[in-house]
Amino acid sequence: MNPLLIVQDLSMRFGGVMALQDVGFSVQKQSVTALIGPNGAGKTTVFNCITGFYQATAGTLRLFAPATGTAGVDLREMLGEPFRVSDFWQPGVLGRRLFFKLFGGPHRVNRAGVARTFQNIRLFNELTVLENLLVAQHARVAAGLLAGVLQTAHFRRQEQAAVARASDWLRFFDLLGDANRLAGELPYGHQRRLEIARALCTEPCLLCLDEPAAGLNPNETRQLSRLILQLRDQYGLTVLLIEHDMGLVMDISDHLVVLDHGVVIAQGKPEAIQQDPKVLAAYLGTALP
Amino acid sequence: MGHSWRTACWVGLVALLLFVPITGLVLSGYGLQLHWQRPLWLAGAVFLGYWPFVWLWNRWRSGSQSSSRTAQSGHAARPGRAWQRPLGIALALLLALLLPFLLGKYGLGVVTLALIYILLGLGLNIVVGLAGLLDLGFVAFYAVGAYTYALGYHYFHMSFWLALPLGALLAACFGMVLGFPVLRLHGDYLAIVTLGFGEIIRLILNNWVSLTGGPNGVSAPFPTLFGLEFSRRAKQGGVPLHEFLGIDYSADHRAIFLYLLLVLVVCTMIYILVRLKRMPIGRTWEALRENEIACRSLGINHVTVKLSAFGLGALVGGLGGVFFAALQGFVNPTSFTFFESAHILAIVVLGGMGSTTGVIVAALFLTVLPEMLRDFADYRVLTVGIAMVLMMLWRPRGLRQRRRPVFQIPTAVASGQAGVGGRDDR
Repeated sequence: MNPLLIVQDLSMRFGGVMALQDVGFSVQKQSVTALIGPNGAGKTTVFNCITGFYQATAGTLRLFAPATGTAGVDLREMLGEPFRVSDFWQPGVLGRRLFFKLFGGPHRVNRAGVARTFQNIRLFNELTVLENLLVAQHARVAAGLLAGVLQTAHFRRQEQAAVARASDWLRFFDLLGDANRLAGELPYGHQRRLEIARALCTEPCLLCLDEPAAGLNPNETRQLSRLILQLRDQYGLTVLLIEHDMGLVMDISDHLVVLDHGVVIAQGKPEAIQQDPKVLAAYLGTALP
Repeated sequence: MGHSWRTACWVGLVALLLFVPITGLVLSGYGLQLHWQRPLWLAGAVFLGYWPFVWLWNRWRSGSQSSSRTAQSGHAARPGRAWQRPLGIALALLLALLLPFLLGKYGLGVVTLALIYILLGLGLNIVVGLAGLLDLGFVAFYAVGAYTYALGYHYFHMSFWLALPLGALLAACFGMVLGFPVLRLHGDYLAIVTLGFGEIIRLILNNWVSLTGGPNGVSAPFPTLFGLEFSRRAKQGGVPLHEFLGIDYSADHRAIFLYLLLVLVVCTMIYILVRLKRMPIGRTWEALRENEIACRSLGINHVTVKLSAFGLGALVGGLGGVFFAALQGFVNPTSFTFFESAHILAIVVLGGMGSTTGVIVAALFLTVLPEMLRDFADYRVLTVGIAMVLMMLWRPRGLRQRRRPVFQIPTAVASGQAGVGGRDDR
């Protein structure tokens, strides 16, 4: 067992509504893990907690990215947690909390190695396809303001490298022909692929896809599942995805987590899940006694 | 051709119907006098004027449609037009350098003011056009720049050359101070807060009489060139420029000097801003305008991005302010009302959000035209309003739409030799 992400006792409360209750699962390195469940089960809430868009009410999220060593990093801490009384006699803890309060946020989670796409596509519509990918690489173009204004050789090399990297991913997703078109005018299927390519440009170790096959035709879905498997096998990526297309989920996932009403009702291999009576009940309903 | 002929007939007929009661029937005393020739002449003029106009319009439209289709497909750079850009820039520069010798003192003053508005437009363009943060209080930074020079001279005898960077930096600081509390605001709410900020600065300048002189204003001296003054007789034993160069004194020298200095600063700023748009920071501003949530998911810290946009925009505005103080020789709070903010915003909107060329053209248009039409000064605001409405109808994205940069795909990738494979860093 070699987990990349461990989720423990994750709870999320919106006012009086308990959206997630003690959710726990782990994502193995170089695997495809799928999060499934009926509508409103809390799948996207789990995603938002993992990627830093929601501050979870309770629980731990630990990411074991290659760069962070064996201890892993706490994803919740990066969002800026509220101060506690005990912090005031622990200056180290207080300092860390203050730092993340001021400079923390979802962007830190991304820099730690978690990239995501969205259920409703969020591209930079007025920018070209290639610019979309360049924006995602902003952190890697390590050239200062002055270097850019003066167009130093170093800056130009960095830009060329960024364009080359972006082009590589465009080729992988078969979007090279659209490189200089506006992202907003692409066909829907291309936009879906572009969003994944953009997330990959941030060099993540965990890729979170929120319903990547929504709105795609069967042909495009097949192509997508091939690409996801290629990402896992060739590039060693770990993929966590939410999907309603059961054909796709059963084909490509190594591990399934089933959520219903904010609670994990089952997890395991796809074959086992298909037989699980609780899952069948959640999806199909139970017979009246 | 046939179509425009028929439309022209209809237009002529409608004109005839309209002109008969308007010009054909003239009230004299208690009776009506019939002037039947008048409406006929007018309708004939409308008919004859309309026909060639429509014909040309249709031809132009069919031409531009075919060209805009290629632009739509995203390949913004059209081959065969590459020489136009450098040629245009060279011509504009030549004209800018010759202008002081072509125009009189008054004309030069107007153009100098127009250059200041170009600076302000460029500054606001960063905030509104690129980063998409609607700022209705931009005049505050203009005021900060102007008062830095005026008060700096008044209290510390600060020279223009020191006030120029200092005023810009101070304005940038104010930009960030404004930016911090409005980080979470968007659209209308942001506009209201920035509007309030602009008014706060103006009211402070107006009411803190002991520091700023209140409505009486503060005077600011004319800049010197390496310690040489532009006056007939230098103060306190200095050397005036005309004596140093051994030429006759002329009051035009100082105007030409300030103008050329502004041309230099404006050109530098244009260059920097054009570069910024193609740099990671410029792309990030635009990305933030397009989708803030997606930006955060890509590891972009929206706080620094927004603050940098506010700061840099204010910096350029502050530069404009220092020049304004030097040009006028005197500043008081009435120069920094909300109307001024609206004027700068109109420049950005008319020019086309994010387009540098558009902002320059719009700033010249909106500053020089009202001066030329002094006789119609009462209708100035009305004209701007009508121009805005016409723009919304015909060119909702501004005089000049921004062209996206086109990137060359590396040939190795295009031919499929290199791949993303072989990346072993994960």
